[in-house]
Amino acid sequence: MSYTLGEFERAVLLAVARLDDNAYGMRIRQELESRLKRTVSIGAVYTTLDRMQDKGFVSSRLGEPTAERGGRAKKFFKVEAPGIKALEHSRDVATALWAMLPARR
Amino acid sequence: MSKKWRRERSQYGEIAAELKVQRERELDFAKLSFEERYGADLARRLREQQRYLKGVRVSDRWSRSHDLRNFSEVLNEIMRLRDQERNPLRWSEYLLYIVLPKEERESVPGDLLEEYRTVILPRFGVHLARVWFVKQVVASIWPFLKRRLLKAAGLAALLRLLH
Repeated sequence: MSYTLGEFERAVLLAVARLDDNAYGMRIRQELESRLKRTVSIGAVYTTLDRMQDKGFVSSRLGEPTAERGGRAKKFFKVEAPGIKALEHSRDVATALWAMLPARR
Repeated sequence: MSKKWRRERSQYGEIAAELKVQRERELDFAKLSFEERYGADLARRLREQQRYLKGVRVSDRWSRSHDLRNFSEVLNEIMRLRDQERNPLRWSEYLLYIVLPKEERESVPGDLLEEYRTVILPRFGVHLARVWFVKQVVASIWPFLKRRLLKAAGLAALLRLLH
């Protein structure tokens, strides 16, 4: 099983992990926009989450429908064990790459 | 005819005659005008009061119903505009539905609508909020379409391998 993550995938996975029980589309998008300081479309978030769900990094469940959503249900996401492993792997790779740089005087 | 019977008949006759007179008096009283019944001054005051109460009640009823009609019309208009504002442009929602996979048709429009209503609309107003919604839809078309095409291509490749 490959634990490689793209840059956006890592950001989405970290946002889901950070939001914990409140991780659903709108919150994840807002979190990403505020952290990455750029516009993020809801489509990009959902397709990334869908892809990671296929890989087993995240799981989803449907919540209760609410009035402000026009009676539509929320889809909550949760990071699974392979997702945490992928994040750790991504951090290790980044650390190893940074270690390659010569120390500055 | 005994003495007793004659006395009784005359008694009943007296009572009947008294009742008849009383009834006639009542009928006469009913025929009397206000002036004749209560005197000219009291009758005038009663008539004035009657006219005033009648007028007030009628005009009040009319004005109240007129006001209510206006109020409900204004209220309906406000509600209609509020509903219109609270929802993004319909065609943009349709556009999103076309590209969305079946399993995301609940959550994605819900997320956009929630953010539109709770965050964007109160902060930026109707026009900018609608622009934001359309921008989100347009930006979301390509990722969903790409995902769909990739899935279809993957499926086609798999079928080709099996054959």
